[in-house]
Amino acid sequence: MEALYKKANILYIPALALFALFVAYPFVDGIRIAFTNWNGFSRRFSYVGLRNFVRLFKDENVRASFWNTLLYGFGSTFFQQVLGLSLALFLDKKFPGRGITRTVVYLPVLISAVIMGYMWYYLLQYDGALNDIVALAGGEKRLWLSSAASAKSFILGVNTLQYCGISMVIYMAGLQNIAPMYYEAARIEGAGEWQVFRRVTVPLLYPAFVTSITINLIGGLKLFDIIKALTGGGPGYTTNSLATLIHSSYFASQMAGFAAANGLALFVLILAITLSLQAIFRKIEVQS
Amino acid sequence: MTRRASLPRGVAAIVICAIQLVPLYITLTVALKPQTDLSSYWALPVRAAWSNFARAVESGGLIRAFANTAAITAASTALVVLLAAMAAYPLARSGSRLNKTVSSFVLSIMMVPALSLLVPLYVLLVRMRAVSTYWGITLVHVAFNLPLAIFLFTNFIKTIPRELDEAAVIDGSSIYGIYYRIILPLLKPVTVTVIILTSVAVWNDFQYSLYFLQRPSMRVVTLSISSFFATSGSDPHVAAAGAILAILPVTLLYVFLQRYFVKGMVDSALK
Amino acid sequence: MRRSIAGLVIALVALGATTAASAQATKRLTVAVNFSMTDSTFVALQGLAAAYNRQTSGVSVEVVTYPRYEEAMKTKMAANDLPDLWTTHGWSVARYSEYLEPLNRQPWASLVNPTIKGVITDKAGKFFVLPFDMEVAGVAFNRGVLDQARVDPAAIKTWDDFKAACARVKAIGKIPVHIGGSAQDDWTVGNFYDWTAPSFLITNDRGNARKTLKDGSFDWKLWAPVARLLVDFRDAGYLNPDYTQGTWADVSKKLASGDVAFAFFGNYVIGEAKKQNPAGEYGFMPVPAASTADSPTVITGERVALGVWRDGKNKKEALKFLAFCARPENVSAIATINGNPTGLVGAGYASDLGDLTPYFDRLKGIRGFPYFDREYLPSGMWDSLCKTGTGLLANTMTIDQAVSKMKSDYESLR
Repeated sequence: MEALYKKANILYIPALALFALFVAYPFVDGIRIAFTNWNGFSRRFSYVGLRNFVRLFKDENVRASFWNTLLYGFGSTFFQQVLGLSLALFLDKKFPGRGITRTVVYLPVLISAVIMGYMWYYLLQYDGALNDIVALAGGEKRLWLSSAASAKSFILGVNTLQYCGISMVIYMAGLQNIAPMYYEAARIEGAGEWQVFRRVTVPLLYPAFVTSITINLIGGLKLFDIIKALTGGGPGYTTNSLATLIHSSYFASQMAGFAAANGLALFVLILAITLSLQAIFRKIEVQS
Repeated sequence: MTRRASLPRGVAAIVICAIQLVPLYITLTVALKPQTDLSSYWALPVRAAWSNFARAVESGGLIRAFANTAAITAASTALVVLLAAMAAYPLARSGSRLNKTVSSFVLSIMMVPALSLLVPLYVLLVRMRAVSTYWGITLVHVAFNLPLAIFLFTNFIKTIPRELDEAAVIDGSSIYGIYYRIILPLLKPVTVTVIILTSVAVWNDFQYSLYFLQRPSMRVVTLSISSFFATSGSDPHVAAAGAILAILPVTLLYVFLQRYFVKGMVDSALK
Repeated sequence: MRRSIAGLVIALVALGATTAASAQATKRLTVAVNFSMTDSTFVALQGLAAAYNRQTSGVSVEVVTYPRYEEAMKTKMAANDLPDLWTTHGWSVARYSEYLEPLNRQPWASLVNPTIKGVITDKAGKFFVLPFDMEVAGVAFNRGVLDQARVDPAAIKTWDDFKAACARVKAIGKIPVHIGGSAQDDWTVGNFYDWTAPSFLITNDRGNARKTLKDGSFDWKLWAPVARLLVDFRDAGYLNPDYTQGTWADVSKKLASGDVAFAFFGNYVIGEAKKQNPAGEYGFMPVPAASTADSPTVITGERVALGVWRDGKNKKEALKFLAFCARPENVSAIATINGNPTGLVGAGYASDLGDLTPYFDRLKGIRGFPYFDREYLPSGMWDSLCKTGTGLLANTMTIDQAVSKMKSDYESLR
């Protein structure tokens, strides 16, 4: 049978061919560009060795974007788990309006991130909706996106709200997979609500945790569209993620080689974090 | 569940829904107001300015954009389903070293940020004369949506008992015959999931479309909407109207076919 | 017998000729421009294309724009996949010349306005674009607001004079300077620097950085006063209150409605304001000097300039279209829309400067200098100008940090 299955390997050749052409080849070429001082459009350029990579470590903006990337990645993920799990628990019992709530919370996931960013912009403009409420409440109109801290918070917030539906849905499915008999067994032994949660729900939700965290984390680390729509990486350079920095280094600053080196670094970062996470998850699973 | 107990839940639910819907509500009110209406974004328009929608369609070439997006989405989704199901079969059945490597390679593609590949990919497409063509952008979408689809199909096929394959062999079927006659018909549920995930991803794509579909006649919906917002001096009300029109199809489909959408997300998640 | 053979031959020749004519498919020319579809310049160019299409058979010209024009053009250059013609927004020599066809031997080449000739010519003496108009710009203003505040623009010679004028405008409750300032429109901040940097670094004939900026020995500490001017305006309250989130659309809107006094843009801002309030009175004045040891100046450069792709398949047709564009009536029309002098001079070339004419007349003897970033900064530093500007405005950068960022970008990009 095994030998027969080996013959079936032909079936994945078309897919591999596409990957080789549209992913592998550009990836390798991207690495080559990282060793040049190309400006992105001229036919003239030269090879400059490791200069771009060295610059990655020295450049202030790269450092700031690096921390922002971690902030957006881990920050969004954390809040999305909290929100998602709370919503899933909240919607676990039947009540009128339950179905609608689930529908509405998940809806933003299906909206293009670019468009969502633009929609939030109406809220955050100086003459926008949020300032209207603030003014009504007697406060002073603020420029919400013009301080680094405030802008980053909003980027985090918008991203969290838009995609918390994903974790909510995953946890809902996870909760439904827990057979009622586990709850009953725990209650018979006299466990209170919190203990039931800790001892029964959490461990049995483990696969859901792993999946939800991984999906949210990769998405958060690659964050691009919302940042571009809300702040463009500004004010100055302060809200850039590595992804938006790559984009502006390439197109605005005309440093294609540097952008390529940055791109490579981002890929390695995401890979490293994901692999470490997998290892940690496996360890926890083994321990319990 | 007594009435009183479900009331606070009901109220909380309303608050939650309201928060999620705020950006949509604001965009809607802006879309329905004429340029001269300077009232707060929260206030409902005094007179609905449907003309904004008409102008959005006109100057954004939205009809053309919708047609383009639909065509590209349909083609990409069909190809993804076809190629992913094929690729998943051997990967699911044979755990050989080669296959395990291929699987890992496929998964790692999902971690590559699009920007890292942008320029070399663009240069490649130009040499292939694929820029601003339907087939060019379709192949790009297929290449980047395949990994998730392959992952889903693989996991699903693993749950189909091998005994079915073996029985077919005894009946004299070739391995390809097994795939075509035994496996394929059983893939309906996961195929629906893949169709939904891929279609949404391709429909909402912005970055690849921005660089690979430059001719105005080839624009997709996300590009048209973005050009409304990006051009300084343009009317924000028309832009908002465009945004509403852009999200309308997916929203309507979702409302009516919820079950499949949500199931899609869950399936791709839980192993 | 001979007649029928002759008839056959004639018929065959006629058949051959007509098939040859119809076999000549319509050539499509693409003209890419960096103006949005609602911009008056875009509309005017579309009009030109339509007129050309009507009178020329076998060629169809289409005017297009890209949502992120410069990005799109850079990607296209990288892949050697360019439109037949495109506008160069000031970068015909420094960025695009590698890909543009030299135009020195075009029939209209000798008509290029000498004032702009220098800016569009490279070191080898070649030039690459048809300049429809020439930017001659200073600080635009709303005359009505200045009258209300009792400010005489002709009396403003230095930044100190300007600040005093701003104080008067602020006193009557109007916005002295509207800068835009949001991340999406951070080019407005870059433009502010393009207007103001020369007065500190370039215009003083007796002490300037013209050479040191070009040969790399520039002392970046000298950038601090340029950065400080913007910060001073902000701290004194002379900028629009939403100075980190204002848009370009707001600039012309508020200039038109009489809420803003000054705007640091070319006369195109007046064109946009006139669209919204044709009855308003607008004008412009030279950019003030940094001190009394120097005199006010104006900014000159490309505004609408069109070039031809050197490797285009339809280069011949493109050059013919360009020659059509070079006709007096076409050049004058575009120049008039932007409130600028024409890029070609001679019989029939004249833009109707309308009520801006007195302000142009007052420019006699005033020196003109190019856009600061186009001439004196390496390509790619425009972004540094914009970003350090918005950073300073939002207080996420100190002046020292802005200076060191400019310096490090300058060194990487040289």
